[in-house]
Amino acid sequence: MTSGATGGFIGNLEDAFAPPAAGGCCGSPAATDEAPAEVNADAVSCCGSAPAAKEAADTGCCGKAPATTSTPASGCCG
Amino acid sequence: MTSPPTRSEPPSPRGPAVEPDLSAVLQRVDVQRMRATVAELAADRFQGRRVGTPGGQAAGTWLADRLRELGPDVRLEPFHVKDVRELYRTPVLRWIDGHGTHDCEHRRDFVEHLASADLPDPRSAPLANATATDLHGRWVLAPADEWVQTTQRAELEGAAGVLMARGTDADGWMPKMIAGPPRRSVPVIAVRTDLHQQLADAVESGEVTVTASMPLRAVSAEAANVHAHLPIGEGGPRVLLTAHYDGVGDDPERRLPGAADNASGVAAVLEAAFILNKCLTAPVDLAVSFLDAEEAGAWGSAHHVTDLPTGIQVINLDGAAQLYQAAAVEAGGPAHHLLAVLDQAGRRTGVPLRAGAMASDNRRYAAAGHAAIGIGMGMPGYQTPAETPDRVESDTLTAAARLLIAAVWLLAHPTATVPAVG
Repeated sequence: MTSGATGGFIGNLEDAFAPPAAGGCCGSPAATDEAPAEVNADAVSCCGSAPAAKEAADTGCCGKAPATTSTPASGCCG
Repeated sequence: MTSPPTRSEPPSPRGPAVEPDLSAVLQRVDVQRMRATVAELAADRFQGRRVGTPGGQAAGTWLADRLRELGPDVRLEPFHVKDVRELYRTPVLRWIDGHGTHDCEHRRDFVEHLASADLPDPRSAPLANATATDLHGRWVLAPADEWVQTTQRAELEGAAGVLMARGTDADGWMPKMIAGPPRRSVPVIAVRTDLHQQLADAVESGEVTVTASMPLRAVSAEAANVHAHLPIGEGGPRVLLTAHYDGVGDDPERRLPGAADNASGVAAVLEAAFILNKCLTAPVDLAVSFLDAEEAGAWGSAHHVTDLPTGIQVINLDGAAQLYQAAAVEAGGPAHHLLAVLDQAGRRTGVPLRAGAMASDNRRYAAAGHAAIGIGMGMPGYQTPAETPDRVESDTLTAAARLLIAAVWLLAHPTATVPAVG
């Protein structure tokens, strides 16, 4: 799992600045099959209402594709 | 098991006279100490650590005491949080059809939808499909892709409430959340997908009566971040290690221990701080923040960024419980150098890294212009009763602590780092 031969970045380092979405709304459970409409609605208040947070939320995972089992998103919106 | 708060060696805030090399430092990571921290934070007395609850506040105090064992400059930063969703009683859902009465179990068969209006007491009403001409006084089955439209119509026509479909996690639980969309004026309940289909079939073949409550309210809460300033030597790069310690809190009748999200991350950060405090001599202006109210909308970090000095490099760890293939890494702000250092740290420790969305406190720091990286290393049982300490993997805790230590060590030894990218 953590051998010295496999450590460090897999893929392009710069991709970390625009990572693929891992959660529908932030914190979406891995196997939830929520409908896209609900995902989008839940994303409205995802990271709070501050403009900076909204910008971060809009450019992040909120409202994107549902999470995969292997990469549960963490709970920006709970 | 090693007690989490105690140190077995005398305090040496500035570290030993001769600094061991990185590999020797990494070997000092104590997984039992981390496991003890996870077990403590997941224990009954902290009640799932929801912001503003006695359990959440006690967890913050406990962490402040742990940090004071590393140095005297520890403070609690109080702040106020609004609109935290609180389930104040176990909701009920049952239906009666031609086959009898069907009782449903909360968090297995149905769960609160955070847009729901408060419905303190059970309400019985006939069930209708969303295609019915009149929804007044009826519970309404919302099609999977039309719950918003159905809810709007339910509000206009005075429906009893809305039942929409939602899946479960791999263990059959429906995870808990406490921050969500604006509240609607009708109750909204998320029903397990297969039961939702059963209801749809039942209402097609005869009369169905649904009885349900949803005791869900919005509350304000007093929150507190826990900050420690642990400078090593004079000057050096400013580094902030963060992890949120709050959870979604227990249900009224069920424990949600929050071992993975994020007792595991807190344990790894605490261990990293302990080892760095003891072993590092190269100057680093190190700080550690255990943040509150992340689950309520990342408000702890939002509050913290308002008084943070410029030039600080932030590493946030959210989940260190089950490393699957590679840790998820998200970078924001001017974090190119920090990212390159983290890559180097991953190589030094054998921890694989991959770009992945980390919607956590790191985004608040990045949005405020700081170099910020979020790291996620898995959350088995995410926000369910199954998020227990036994599911937190020792190897992952060790990997997380070593990754953090290596990153700070490399920041403190710039000649040992790789060049920045970008």
